[in-house]
Amino acid sequence: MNMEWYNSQAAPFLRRFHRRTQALYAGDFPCAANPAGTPDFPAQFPCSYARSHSDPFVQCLVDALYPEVGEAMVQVFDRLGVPLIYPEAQTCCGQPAYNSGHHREAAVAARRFIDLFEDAEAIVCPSGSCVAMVRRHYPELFAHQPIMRERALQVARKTFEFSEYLVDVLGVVDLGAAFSGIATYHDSCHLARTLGIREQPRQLLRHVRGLSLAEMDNSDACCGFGGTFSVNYPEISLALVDDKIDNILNSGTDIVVGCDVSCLMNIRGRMSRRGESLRVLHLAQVLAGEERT
Amino acid sequence: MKPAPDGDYVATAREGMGNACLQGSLRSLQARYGKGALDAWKALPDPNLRSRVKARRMQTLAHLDRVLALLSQGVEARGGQVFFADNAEAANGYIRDLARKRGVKRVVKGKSMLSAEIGVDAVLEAEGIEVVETDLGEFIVQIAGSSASHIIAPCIHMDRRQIGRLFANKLGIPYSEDPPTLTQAARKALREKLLTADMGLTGCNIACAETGQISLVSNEGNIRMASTMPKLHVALMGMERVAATLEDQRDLLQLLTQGAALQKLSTYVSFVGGPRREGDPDGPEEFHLVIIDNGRSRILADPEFREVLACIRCGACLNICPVYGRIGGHAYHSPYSGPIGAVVTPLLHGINHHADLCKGETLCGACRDVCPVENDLPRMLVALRRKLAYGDAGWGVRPHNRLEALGFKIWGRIMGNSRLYAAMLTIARALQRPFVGRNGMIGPLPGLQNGWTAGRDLQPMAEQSFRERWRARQNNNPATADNSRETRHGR
Amino acid sequence: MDDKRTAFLDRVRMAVQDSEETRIAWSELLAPCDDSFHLNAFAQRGPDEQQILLQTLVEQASLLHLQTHLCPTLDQAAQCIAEITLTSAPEFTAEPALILHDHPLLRALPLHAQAAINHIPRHWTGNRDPEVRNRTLAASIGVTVADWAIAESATIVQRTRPGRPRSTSLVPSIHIAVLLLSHLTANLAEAYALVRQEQDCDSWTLISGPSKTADIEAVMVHGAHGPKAMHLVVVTEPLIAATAGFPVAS
Repeated sequence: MNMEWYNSQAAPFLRRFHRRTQALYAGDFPCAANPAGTPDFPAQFPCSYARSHSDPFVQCLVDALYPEVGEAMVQVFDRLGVPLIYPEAQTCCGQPAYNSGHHREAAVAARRFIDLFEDAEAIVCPSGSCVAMVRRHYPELFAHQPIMRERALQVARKTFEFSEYLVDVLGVVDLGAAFSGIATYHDSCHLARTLGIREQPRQLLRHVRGLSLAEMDNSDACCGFGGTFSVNYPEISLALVDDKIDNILNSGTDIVVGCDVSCLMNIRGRMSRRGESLRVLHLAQVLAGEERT
Repeated sequence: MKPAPDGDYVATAREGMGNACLQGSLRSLQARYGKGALDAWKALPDPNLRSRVKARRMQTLAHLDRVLALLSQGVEARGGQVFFADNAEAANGYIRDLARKRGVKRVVKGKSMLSAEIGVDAVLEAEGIEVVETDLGEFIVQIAGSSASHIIAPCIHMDRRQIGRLFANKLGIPYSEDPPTLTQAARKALREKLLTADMGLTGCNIACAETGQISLVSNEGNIRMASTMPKLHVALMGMERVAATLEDQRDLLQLLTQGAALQKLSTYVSFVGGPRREGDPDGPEEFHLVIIDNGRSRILADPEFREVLACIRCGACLNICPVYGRIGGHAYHSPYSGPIGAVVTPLLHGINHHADLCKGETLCGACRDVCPVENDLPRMLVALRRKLAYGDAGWGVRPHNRLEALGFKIWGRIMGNSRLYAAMLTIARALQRPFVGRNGMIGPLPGLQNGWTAGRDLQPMAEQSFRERWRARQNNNPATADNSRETRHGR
Repeated sequence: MDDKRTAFLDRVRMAVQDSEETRIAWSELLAPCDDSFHLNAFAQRGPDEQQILLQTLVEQASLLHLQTHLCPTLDQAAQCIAEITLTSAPEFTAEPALILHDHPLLRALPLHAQAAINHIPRHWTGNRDPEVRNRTLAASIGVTVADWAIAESATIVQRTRPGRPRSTSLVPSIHIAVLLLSHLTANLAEAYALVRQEQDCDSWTLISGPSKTADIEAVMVHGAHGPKAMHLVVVTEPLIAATAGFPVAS
């Protein structure tokens, strides 16, 4: 790590953050990203956060298909000096089963997640849809089991999406990242609508040296993935992803950035079939400054 | 309008996606009205208006029996008659008997999706009664022998050329594709019907229990005509479409007209609760309010779905839904299309029968954002999917897809055990090798994967998963004070 | 019939019995709204504020193709109506004809002084008037009085009263509504408060411009089933007592 950068940029941020959390420690810090403002999961930050660990939950798709995204996230945390604890027995948050109505199976995955992560100080995940699952739906899954529900709420309170963690928890928007190109940003549905996280990724992208940001039309229109929907109703799914790709192509950019690998997998898969060479990257990859695809 | 014909969601969706006129119209409609409604809510002087209104709706529903009793008392005090219809048959029977008794020959209709839900047109036509839709869009689909594809803009799937040919054919006018000319032709043709009809049959946008009246919303004036000129006025009301107080009615009215067409108010809002009074030179001699259940009490009784009865049928969710925007309204095979249709149709007419409506959306949540009464439609779609996954005795649902259920059982086992999970990755990696193309992606595959690979390439499993890479790095780079990394081992 | 109703309502009651503990009381659900704020705002509105509202009304009206005519006196209002009559071609009939609500304000208009329209048949609606339907159908222009108007949405409030039928503002091709400036309200809430004062209000209608539709390819066309054109004649100066016992708030 670049110590000079750390001393001049990251450390002051962390100290400032530390002071901020001291002031807020008295009460609940309403989760900045939750537009619904449900009392279910106001985030609570212990004041020792600056020195506390972060447990990455990388998401099953990242683990299996896009490990470079997980690695990029780790690199970013390294640069910021955030110590990591990785529970390696993690699998899936349960969202595919939940959205398809198979809630018993989703509860199996949820219990596992809660078991694995409830001792964490903070859980950070590079997927908006997983975080939405944990925060909004885990308490619902255990609505009739008070003990599990309480455990779920505790975990929900400390689960953050990657960009949210950087901007709202660590107070960082400039990671000293460099990445050349013109990028457009895709707002994934759960991140933007369920969690209300729209500005944080953009703020981070704006501080990447060499990168300019151009908005596409309908950046928050659904890409058509929808989990099993993409497989069960492929024609409709394709119509939606084609619209998304047309908007991306019309934005005059050479990179599309997102915070959810499910969307990116969908977009990239269709782009590949259409023969488009525009790069599809996760935010972490841009912030890590890696020109990997 | 005719009740939408039964049929296949996927097949009709495909037709909708192939209809260039529909695609263009829906695109413009959604760009203007969907986004417009979101902007309208952001610009509300009172940012809590929608939540307050939703809370009032739920409180009203919680007292619905007394609210309906109060409404019917008020209507009867004005000389109106109220009939409580348990279901479509009861409602149709009442209307048919009334029409027979009064020797009705011609009925003019204001737009009413409920009338399509209960199928009253066919019942009246079987009596030899002429039934004429007077809303321009409904009139067009009626004479075209088609059905409405949007709650507010029924003939959005037709272009001016089609309508021009239709009018030349059915109204005997010279061919024109000029909307004002076509509208004028319909105006003339329908005026005669409106002025000579024996019965006006309308819906009810929002009834008001406090004042004992219903309110009707339109821009064309046909509903005012249908409720003023004929001797009989029959209004169909879904039992949930009632506000407790005039204040509530006002809030709902403004949300309705904004959500539907970004209007402060529609051109006409009429309040009626009874027949003509002593001294009135016009107005109907009889007013009948038919309050219809037809499955709504069952929805009301289920706390998971009760909130869907707060819907005021503005159509904003249709104007924002990306799925509806591509497939069009006919794919829903119901008078209620779009996100609201996807929830309400299975609940009213069979969850198994309409399984595609429960499953055929991405749950993107745009409908929840735009709903004036903050209905959480995605939540209810997931609840419907849960019933399809496991069956439900209360709602009479059989498990829908045994293969998918089995798939998720297996998935549950794998995800519950990291050794199994790792094994699955290894197996999948081995199996996929022959299919990975030169571009590093998996191309078209036969069989189960065809849903994805028919149109998209598939990202293959990475040669090393993140976990494997982490382990490798840990072995090579022991943790330092500055960037400590631990692994928490587990089962 | 009663049994059906009882069974129906019982079923509804059973459906919501789970909410009996948590819902608000019935009396609270129906708690009457305090209209005094709006009624006071209306009653205490000064001429400057009224001018501002008038400005808003005119602006909003133009968006809806509602043509506004500001006439300081009754004489000018009558003249205005005459001009509208002369420049409007009948649509469904061969000859023009007027049908007017029998309302003191319209009776007070010196229409007889408008020689140019003396030849045009004029029918006044009345209680249980058997001629009303035919005369309405024969009329090319219907003239009514707006009980109130709403500036925010360029809306008129039209109550059905004995002798003043609904069809007058609906069936003829052109609708002229006459409004006293003192009856202009700011917004819907204010108008509702005023309507609620009238306990005996039977049917009433809010009208915001001529009829329209955009059902064909989203192209806006004015003149669907209701009037294809609407005029709002606003009498802007307060009426002096000399105008024959005409009650300002009728």
